[in-house]
Amino acid sequence: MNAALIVITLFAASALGLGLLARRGKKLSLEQWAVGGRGFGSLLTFLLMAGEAFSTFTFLGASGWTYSKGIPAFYILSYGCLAYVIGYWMLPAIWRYAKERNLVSFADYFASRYDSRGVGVLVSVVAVLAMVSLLIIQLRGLGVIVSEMSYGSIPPAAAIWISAILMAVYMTVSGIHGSASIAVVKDVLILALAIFLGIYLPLHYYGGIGAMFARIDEVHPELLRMPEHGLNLSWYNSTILLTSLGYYLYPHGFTAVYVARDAKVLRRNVVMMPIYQVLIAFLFLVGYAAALTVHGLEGPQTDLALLRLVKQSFAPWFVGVVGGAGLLTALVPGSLIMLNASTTIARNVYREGFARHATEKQVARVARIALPLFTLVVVYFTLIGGATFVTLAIFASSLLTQLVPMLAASFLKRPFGTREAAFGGIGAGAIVLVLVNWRGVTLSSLFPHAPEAFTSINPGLVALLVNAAVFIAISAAQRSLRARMATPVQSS
Amino acid sequence: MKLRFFLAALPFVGMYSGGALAEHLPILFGMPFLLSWNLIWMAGTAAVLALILHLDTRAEAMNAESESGAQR
Repeated sequence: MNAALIVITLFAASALGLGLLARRGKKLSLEQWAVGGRGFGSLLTFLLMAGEAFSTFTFLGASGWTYSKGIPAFYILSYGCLAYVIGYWMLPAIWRYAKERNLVSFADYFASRYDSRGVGVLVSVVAVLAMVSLLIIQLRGLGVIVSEMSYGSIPPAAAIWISAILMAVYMTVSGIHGSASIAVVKDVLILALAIFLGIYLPLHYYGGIGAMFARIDEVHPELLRMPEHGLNLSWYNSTILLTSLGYYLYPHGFTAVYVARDAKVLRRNVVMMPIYQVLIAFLFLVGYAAALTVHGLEGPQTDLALLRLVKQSFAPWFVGVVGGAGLLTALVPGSLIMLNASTTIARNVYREGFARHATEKQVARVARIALPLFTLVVVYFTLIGGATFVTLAIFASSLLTQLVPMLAASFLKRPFGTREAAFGGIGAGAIVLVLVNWRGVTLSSLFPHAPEAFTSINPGLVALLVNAAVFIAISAAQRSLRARMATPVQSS
Repeated sequence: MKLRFFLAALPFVGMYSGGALAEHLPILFGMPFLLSWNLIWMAGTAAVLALILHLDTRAEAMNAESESGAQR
């Protein structure tokens, strides 16, 4: 039994305690359970939205990418800021619409806007599959963090089982209130740790931030230059565009908007969110500090850069604190994903597909049964595999961004997009993604003589542009067709 | 309204000009140019959004006042 293990266990136990206590004094209807009765003020809404945005990917990925790739990683700091500018207008519009129609799930929004069960089913299927892969990512990250930071005394599989059960228990009992109360602790802790590590580690190993970069410039100058090939400037710029447009299309982030008490809360939040991103800059500094001090990490292992450097630099109890913080970083988004998957299953699959006359109470019961079942299925795929299904789930998560044209068209004052166009656009985007992922088609194989600035564009953005073009073309064609059919009737 | 959209365009111009500028000026304030630049624009984005929120809140307050004035 080492000190780190004790600290991590304490973190897990407190998370469970906090999550369960969050239930106190609340009668949980579906609306209360899933979106907190739409009564959350600025702080809690902020923490939930931040909880979604700053997951294990930020914790391990931001530092790991900097460690292995250098400059291109900085896109992670840019896209959020641009997304918040869009969000300033978009989020209040989504919130008002959701409030008027008592929407609870991600798919509800699209089904209602396009007045189509088909669209609802399409979005729910994509969303549930995508959430499987998103939860797998959180659980895998969590397994890595806990096993590394407990010096191997808790194997990843045990960590995944224990934390999945913890989440399922407190989420079934408390719903969104469980995530919210843990998010408070997690955010304070992760912010303090990132700032501390980002300042202390460069100071300790190099004598300062400036000195660190001077040293890296001598040994690994490529980490301080934008590459000319591969992840180059066009990749960087196109990835910022793609990720900022798709920022709000994660089901659990989208529904975090529903919990707000009023639209003002959301506008105030997007003003604060860019400042919170400073956290990512400190994680970049940790990644750079690891560049010359942590050796031998390659491929997917580079995600371990931060953890290895912490282990190398601090006493076990502090390693435990970082491990505990990493655990909470996975628990908050992980539990939000579970909650959203189960409300989607209950509202959009069970009620729309099988029981159209089910009462709110029955739907709520189904949601609370679906949550542990969904968790069990995801843990199974995380640990045992099922490669085809996992590939499908990852593919679904890349499809989420393909909902951008549908979402954008839903804000137009004069309705433009149609459900046929929605299907067509998403289909076209999906075909492009399939060609890229499984047929090895790239922009450079299609246009061998095009300049690299063009061929390095992120393929996800290409899929999105094809999708948008098809969406607009079909909608416009249907509109002119309808106008033509309507005219003779009027003239007669 | 136009002022608000002009303000909202600023973070996009800022973030997108960073990559091209970095090719000419690799280091800024002792850090890689793009890191310092993105941090400056991160603060800039918050400032821009705060200003837009201020303008909106003021406009809404004035609207509410003129409406209650009209009712009287």
